[in-house]
Amino acid sequence: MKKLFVFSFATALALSSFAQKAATREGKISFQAKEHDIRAENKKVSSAVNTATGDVQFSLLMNNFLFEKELMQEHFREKYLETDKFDKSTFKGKIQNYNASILQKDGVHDVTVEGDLTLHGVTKHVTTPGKITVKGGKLTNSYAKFTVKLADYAVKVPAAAAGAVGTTTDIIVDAQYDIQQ
Amino acid sequence: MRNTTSSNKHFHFPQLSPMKHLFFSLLLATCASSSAFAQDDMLDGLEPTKDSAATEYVEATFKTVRLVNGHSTEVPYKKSLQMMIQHRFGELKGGAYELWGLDQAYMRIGFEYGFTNRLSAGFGRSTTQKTYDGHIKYKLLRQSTGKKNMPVTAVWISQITAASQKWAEPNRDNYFSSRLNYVHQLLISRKFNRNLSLQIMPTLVHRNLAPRGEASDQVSIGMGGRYKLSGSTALNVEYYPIIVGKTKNTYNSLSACLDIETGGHVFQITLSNTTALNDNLYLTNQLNGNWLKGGIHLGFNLMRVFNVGSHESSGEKW
Repeated sequence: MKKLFVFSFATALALSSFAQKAATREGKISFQAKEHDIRAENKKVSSAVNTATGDVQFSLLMNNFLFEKELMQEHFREKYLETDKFDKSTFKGKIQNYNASILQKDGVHDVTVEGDLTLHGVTKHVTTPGKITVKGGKLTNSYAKFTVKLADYAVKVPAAAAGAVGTTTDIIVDAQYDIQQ
Repeated sequence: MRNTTSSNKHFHFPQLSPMKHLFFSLLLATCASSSAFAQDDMLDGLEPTKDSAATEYVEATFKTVRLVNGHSTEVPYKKSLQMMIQHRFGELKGGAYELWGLDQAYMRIGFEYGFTNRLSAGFGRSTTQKTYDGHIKYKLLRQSTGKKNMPVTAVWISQITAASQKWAEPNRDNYFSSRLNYVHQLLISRKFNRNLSLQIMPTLVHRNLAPRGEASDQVSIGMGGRYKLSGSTALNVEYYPIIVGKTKNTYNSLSACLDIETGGHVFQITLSNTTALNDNLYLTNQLNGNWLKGGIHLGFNLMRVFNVGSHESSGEKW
């Protein structure tokens, strides 16, 4: 019985200390409306990847999206994304078919990421191809580019503005993981 | 119950008593839940937070730089050019024959440019009395919360207007300075919530040559505000009661408009008791009609913003 106890205890210890994390507070997410000169970048994105399980999380403050054109930034905050009501956007998901052995192979790996994206108070399940960079046994970068439909997240674009704003936008994620645990 | 088979080449998992079964299951469950717990907590301590030491400046108190006829506390952004085409039509009471006043149109075209996010200048030309106008607008205070708490936005505006029609009596000694009028205003506004903003505008108008019997200097305390009806539309109201120097039997300027905002344009469909687009005229009740007797005029402001230079937005607002 002592064998069993020691075995179980050792397993428990191993499981809890096994969680390894690649994280950052300065990830970059930018968006670009298709066919329109509307773009902004958020350079203060928090992100973490559990390098044992492939779980992925992103979190950002909407007001950290900075535009070159202030009037666009004002409309983005006040009218379209209503950042006074919905100040945060998050993503919680995982890398599909993840195996921690990927950390043994340096280089850029194609992956598929899926999870729940919460934007403007609406949560939707998204799946997108992406890339992760492995260097020296550490996950150093994650990248993805995907398109969202504004209407899917209850972002109202009145008909009068649809010509100027458009109905979809590309989102580009680029997180350099400078915090390794 | 122990396994007592002697020839034991394989590891037989020990038979567990119910107690030990329970213990082992609980242990597994704890491990499982702690790794799930780790997933929710992955960003614990890393979440992006609003810098509590920063000041948050209120934005978009009004949709554009005009309330209805008069200025709002909005100033054109740095390196942006605000263009406006304004029309006021004849009296509504003209009926269908006059197309409710549309047959009679008075117009102003104006430009305003932001040198910084605080300072702008503009000029314009109206058809009424062929008036040229120029102004400087400066944002003194900005409504904010956080490190710096400021309950209001305050903007100073100084204007010169010059009527350029030919003299009525060319044989008199007519002075150029007689054509000039000055308007000074302190605009104070507060955005109360996402829908309601109010503004108060103490105003001084000085006319170098006022019509006979009228005061050269007039002071009014303008008041107005806007209420947002939807993300893109708002209702604005503006009233300028003259408290010093008001000419007898004239009507204070009272106007309302519907703001409709699209990408880079704001359309303001106005209803006013004046056809005048020059501040020196409607602020002294010249050409103002009586709302109660159909002296109301339809009109519109077409406001358009152009970005002239691009510059990296630092996120800072000054």
